[in-house]
Amino acid sequence: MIEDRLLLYRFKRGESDALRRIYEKYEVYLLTIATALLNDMGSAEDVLHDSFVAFAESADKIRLEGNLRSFLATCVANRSRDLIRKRSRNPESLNKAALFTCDEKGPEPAAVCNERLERVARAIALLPYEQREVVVLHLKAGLMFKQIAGLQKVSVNTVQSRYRYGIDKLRSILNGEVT
Amino acid sequence: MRPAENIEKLINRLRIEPRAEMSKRNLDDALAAHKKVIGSVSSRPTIWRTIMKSRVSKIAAAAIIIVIIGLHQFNNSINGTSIVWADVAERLEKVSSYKAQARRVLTEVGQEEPFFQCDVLRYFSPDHGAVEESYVDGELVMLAYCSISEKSVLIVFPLNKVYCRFDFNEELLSLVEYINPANTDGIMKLFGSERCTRLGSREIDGVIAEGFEVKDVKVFSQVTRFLLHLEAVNIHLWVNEETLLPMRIEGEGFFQGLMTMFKNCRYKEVVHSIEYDVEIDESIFDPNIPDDYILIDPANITEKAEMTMLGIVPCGAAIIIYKHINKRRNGIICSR
Repeated sequence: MIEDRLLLYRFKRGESDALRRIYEKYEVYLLTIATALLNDMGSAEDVLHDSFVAFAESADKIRLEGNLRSFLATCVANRSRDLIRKRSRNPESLNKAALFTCDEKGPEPAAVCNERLERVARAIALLPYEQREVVVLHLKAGLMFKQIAGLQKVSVNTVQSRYRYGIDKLRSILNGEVT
Repeated sequence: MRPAENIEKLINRLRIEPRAEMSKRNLDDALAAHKKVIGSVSSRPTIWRTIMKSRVSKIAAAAIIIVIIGLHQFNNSINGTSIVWADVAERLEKVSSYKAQARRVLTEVGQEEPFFQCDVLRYFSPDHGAVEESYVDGELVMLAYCSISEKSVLIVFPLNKVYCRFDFNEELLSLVEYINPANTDGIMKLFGSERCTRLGSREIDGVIAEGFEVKDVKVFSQVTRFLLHLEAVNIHLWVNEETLLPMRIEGEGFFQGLMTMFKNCRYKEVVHSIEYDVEIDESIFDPNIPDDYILIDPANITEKAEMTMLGIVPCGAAIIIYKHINKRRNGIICSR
């Protein structure tokens, strides 16, 4: 929190090192969110690129009182949604498949973990976009339902319902794989 | 697939490794975009003035008092038995949160140039407490977290990567309770109505405000005297005639103590841009101290401070803090 506030103030004052540090700090986090939302590595990279360029261009305007991490996640989510809308008009634009890897926290062998994550990622991709967005932004990005409600411009209750439906559907899909 | 109750954990563990060429492209483009706006940022007049930078040590232990005094002034001003004050108190009872900006200036008596000055952002929420961010020349030099539930103040110096923590004793705690705008009972106890005089009306930022003055406010007791011995404190409070909420608070007085290295100083603070019932992100109140920050031993400071109070070691606490912070600061400056 303190580091982020300092980085943000330095960034606003024009220090390139601050922008570099912000990018390095949140690159993996944001790329993972974009990839989980889009299920497309190439598009996720583009979203991350455009989000950061726009962020850099806003140095003289940005007024951020909240959490930098959540702010960046919201930027990525907004751009991902725009891309999904465009995609629905141009479905052939989907290309590179995403390769999720396990983070360092798990106890099991990396290969096993990676395989499980791939299944989860595939299942996430089958969710309707609104549900997918809620599940990913809540569980991976760490956004609160209230923040997601603001982003989706719906009530908190609607977001909670989407989350419940999304998780139930994921369970159903993954359990279906067992049988 | 194993039981689906692990879904939440698995999603949380998703991770994509960025490609090196993508990272480079993104960063290069972002830096280039940033560079374009740097000129406009740096050429624009900054809201923070150029002032002394190396006074951090002098505000270390006194930060707790700074947190209290600013908020204290705010509430102290709700005084008296006049109809206006009753209305203002009623309005304030309904306030759930606020944020404000302030300009704080210390000038040694007999000198013209300020001894220390900073700009302050202040947040208050009854659920979380108060936070002050102090900026010197646009640089965040200090954060003070005043937690009502934990009954403590945490003071962080990001430039030095040090922090210290003070627990409230009962007397300080009773002062801190007044920072709750809803605590009008406490507010009423602090001032006698006969000490409040009207200053008339004035336009501030396009709004008509009515002014009130309270002179010679007794804010601090023996407990805090070693840090900040305030005298002849006058407070002007300007109330928005339409909303009946304070919109500007001007406080000034004389004081000396640890905060000023025992120099006799004039103190002036102007609180402005007060916004009520604003939504404040909870993370503002979470210090979340980075691992590489060093805790200055508060016991050391408190012990020396108590001795200072007794007059045994007049500058003990100041020296302790000064040494701690400067030792660290010098190292950081050299490494830059």
